[in-house]
This record gives sequence, structure tokens and C-alpha cells, in this order.
Amino acid sequence: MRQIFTKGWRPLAAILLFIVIWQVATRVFTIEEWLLPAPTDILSEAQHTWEEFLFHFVATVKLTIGGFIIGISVGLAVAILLHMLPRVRETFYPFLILSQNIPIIVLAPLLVIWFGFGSLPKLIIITLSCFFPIAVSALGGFQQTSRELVHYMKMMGATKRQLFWKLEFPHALPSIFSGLKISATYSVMAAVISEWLGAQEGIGVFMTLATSSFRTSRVFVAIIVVMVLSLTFFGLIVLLEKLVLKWNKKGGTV
Amino acid sequence: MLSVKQISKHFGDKIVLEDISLEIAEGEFVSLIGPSGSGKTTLFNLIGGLLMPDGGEIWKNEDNITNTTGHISYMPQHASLFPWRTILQNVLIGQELQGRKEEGLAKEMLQKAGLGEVIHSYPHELSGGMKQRASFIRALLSPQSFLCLDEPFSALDEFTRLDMQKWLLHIWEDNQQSILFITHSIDEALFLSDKIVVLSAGPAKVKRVFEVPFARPRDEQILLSEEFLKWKRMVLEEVQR
Ligand SMILES: Nc1ncnc2c1ncn2[C@@H]1O[C@H](COP(=O)(O)OP(=O)(O)OP(=O)(O)O)[C@@H](O)[C@H]1O
Ligand SMILES: [Mg+2]
Repeated sequence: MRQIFTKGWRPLAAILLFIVIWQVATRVFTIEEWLLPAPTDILSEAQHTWEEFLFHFVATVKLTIGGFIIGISVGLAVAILLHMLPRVRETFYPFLILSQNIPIIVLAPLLVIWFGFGSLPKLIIITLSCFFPIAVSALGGFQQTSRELVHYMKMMGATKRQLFWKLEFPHALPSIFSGLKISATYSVMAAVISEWLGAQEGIGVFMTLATSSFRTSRVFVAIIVVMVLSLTFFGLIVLLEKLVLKWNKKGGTV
Repeated sequence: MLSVKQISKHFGDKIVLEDISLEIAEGEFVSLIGPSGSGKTTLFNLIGGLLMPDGGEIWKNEDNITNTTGHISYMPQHASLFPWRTILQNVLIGQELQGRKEEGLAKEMLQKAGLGEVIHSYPHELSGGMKQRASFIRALLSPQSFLCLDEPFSALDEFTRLDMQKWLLHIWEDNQQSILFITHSIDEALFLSDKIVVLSAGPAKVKRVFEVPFARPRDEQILLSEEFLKWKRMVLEEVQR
């Protein structure tokens, strides 16, 4: 806890300074609220709308968690499959990378045409953006398993299954967690974007409504909440990592 | 009893092992010495079943175990403990692979090995010698009664090494499992084993087999005896010839 405080004061001070400059600038140059609201405007807007906003917030959180869980399951499954079947890996690895070159903004309306306005197209978008970091980092982790330990396991007569669950999987956990952290932040963004294209609820909907009626303060409330949500997700993964990888404190390998 | 029968093996166009035959009786301690790169580790990989020999067979009692795994227990040169497992969990892995765990026995053996204090520690919290001891306990606890040790002490300093040799003798004399032991040190081979197999290099053949005459239990006094020096000279001459 103390460590967080001693390390965290610099970025905190920077943010505070930024907010102060922002506040002063909007007042000094008398910038209109619909162009750029001052931090105090955003704060009072937040106080006004929070009850209405909460409903959208809950919807987005649910969507994010659902999409994230599906995304990491798909990512892990893909990684395990590609790791176990080298032929399949050689054939499909390029497709894995290509999947990341599809611009989501273009794909999203198509998905709506194909699957309607339900939650399916949204979940697909989130899955598409967060399975990749997991798949790549997990695959990398599996492939980099210490040769010595693999040799030991084989000499001892381990089956392929035992080799995977007792050695390769735990060995890859630190890399899987790096992937999880990236995916966690992506999933929030992806959820908001998916809500832009036709949804009844969610921060994305709230944002589009606010933008089209020039209620810029509201847009900023949404932006800040999205950022905080991303950070929280990231923090939860870091916490989980600390719990699961207790042995990794010093990064010691034997 | 483990019998290696006329094994040969090549990699590419290089013949590494040629017509190697060995026998390790029940409860016997056999050392294998030979020049670096002569193919000792390759022989282990063949006995472990990871490689298919070009010719010859490997038998364990009445079973032909050529190119099948799971019949031997193994201790590598580097401790190769799993960093995410505690020492206790580490020494149980061999049993886990074969399906039954005897935690009580494991704790008892760790206690005897002087690792009682650290059974719940992670490997990175241990010294090199302690890790090596844990690695040996792991090999002993594995259900296979036949142990292959590949230069287990070569990464340790001289003092720790002698301690470990005495410790290994002590533990082994209690358990009496069959051991095939690779080493570069003639002292180590003479001090520990019943039989020393000297290999030649390029391709490796069995040059000569020495029966070591020292009575058991042995203690470190014999390292300084006339008899020991005489044997050391004999083995050395054979290695260099
Ligand atoms: N998988 C492999 N493919 C090709 N060549 C190999 C392979 N494994 C071993 N060799 C070669 O076989 C020879 C014997 O190697 P090995 O590791 O068995 O020697 P060693 O006696 O254990 O040596 P050291 O005492 O240094 O450990 C070496 O020349 C090595 O290059
Ligand atoms: Mg070797």
C-alpha cells in the first residue's frame, strides 16, 4: 500500500496539475461549455446525471465482462490448439494476425446486418479485439517453456497431457497475465464502440446521445468513467496476478 | 536388473555410440565416465526411451523397454525444479505422473535430507546445494526403482560437492536403489560406485569396466588412502589411454 503511495504520487500530481491548468484555461480564454467544458462543469454535470447514467454504466460493465470472458476463453482455446498441433499453427498463424487488420469500425455495421441488434454482434466485436493479445501471449509462453524442464518431464515418462498441464501451462502463466492486462483494457473500449451502433443502453449510447445534442460535459463524464473503468479492470487483473503468481515475486527461474 | 544390449546410435553422419553393452544389477551403483561429448547423455536419453537406437535393445528385468518412456527416474545436471511449486510439491512430481502420492514419506525424506525447514519454500529461496538435494529426493521418491543421474554435482563448488557426495552415499545406503551415474570426476566415481564403466570417444565404446573394491559403508577417510590413490591412477591411465 505504501509502495503504491510512494510510487503513485508523481502521476497523481501530474494529473492534478493538468486539471488545474485546464480549469484556469477555460476561464481565462472564456471557452464555451459546449466546446470544452471546465472540470467543474463536468463535475456538476456528473452530479446531475449520475442516476440516469448508472443504468447505462451497469449495462456496459455487464457487456464488458461477458465479452471479456468469451474473448479470453477463445484466445486460450486458440493458443492451446495451435500449440498442440504444429501443422495447424503453421497454417493458421497468419490468419490470426490478419484478424487484427479488419477495421472494427467497418466490420461493426456488417455484423449488425448479419446478426441483428441483439448482444451477439457486440460480443463478437469485444471477442475479436481481446482474444488476440491472449492468444499470442499464451502461445509465446507455451513455446518458451524451459527445454531442461521439458527434458526432465519426458525422461520421467510424462504424457502429452501431463506435460501441458503440469509444465507448459503454469510456465506460461506470467505471459498469459500480460496478455490479460492488455485484453482487459481493450475490452472496455470495444464494448463502448460496439454500443455506438445501435443499442438501447450502455455508455456508448449515452455518449452518442450527448454528442448529437452538443452536451459536451456529458460526453466528458462518459469519457472519464470509461477511463476509470479500464483502469479498474486492469487493476483487478494485476491483483489476481499477484495472488496467482506468488512464486514469481523475484521472477526467479531455476 | 537393467541391461543395455549392443546399443548404437548416430546423428546425421556422425556415429556417437557403437555397440555399447552394460548391466546394472539390483541395488548396484554404476558410474559412467568418458570424455566430454562422447555420448553419455545420449545413452541416458536412449535408456529413458526418448530416442530410438539404430541397433540394440534395452531391457529392464523381463521387459524390453527400448524407446518406451516412464521406466526410469532421472536427475538432471541442473536441479530443474519447477519454480511455481514448493519444495514438497516439487519432490512429489514424479509420483504425480504415475498417479499416487505419498506426502508423509516425502516429508520424512526431506526432513532427513536437512530440508525440513524449507518444504513450503519455493526453489529460488534455496541454495544450489539444497536445490540439488531436493532434486535427488525427487528422483528417489519417484516410483521407478532405477535412477539415472547426469552429472548431478558438476555445477556445485568443491566443498558443497564433497558434502553432497557423502550425503548421497548416506541416503543411498539406506534405500539401495540401482543408480547409473554420469560424472567427469574419477574421485567421485571411485568414492561412490560399485562399478566404473570407462567410455572412449568418437564413437563411444566401452573401454573397460572396473569393480571398485572398497567396503561399504564408506567414509571420506578412504579418499586419502594409498589404495584409493592406486585405483585413481589406474582409472586415469585407462581414461587417457
Ligand atoms: N539431438 C542431437 N542431434 C544431433 N547431435 C547430437 C544430438 N544430441 C547429441 N548430439 C551429439 O552427440 C555427441 C554426444 O553428445 P552427448 O551430449 O551425449 O555427450 P556427453 O558425453 O553427455 O557430453 P558431456 O560430458 O559434455 O555432457 C555430441 O557430439 C553432440 O553434438
Ligand atoms: Mg552430458
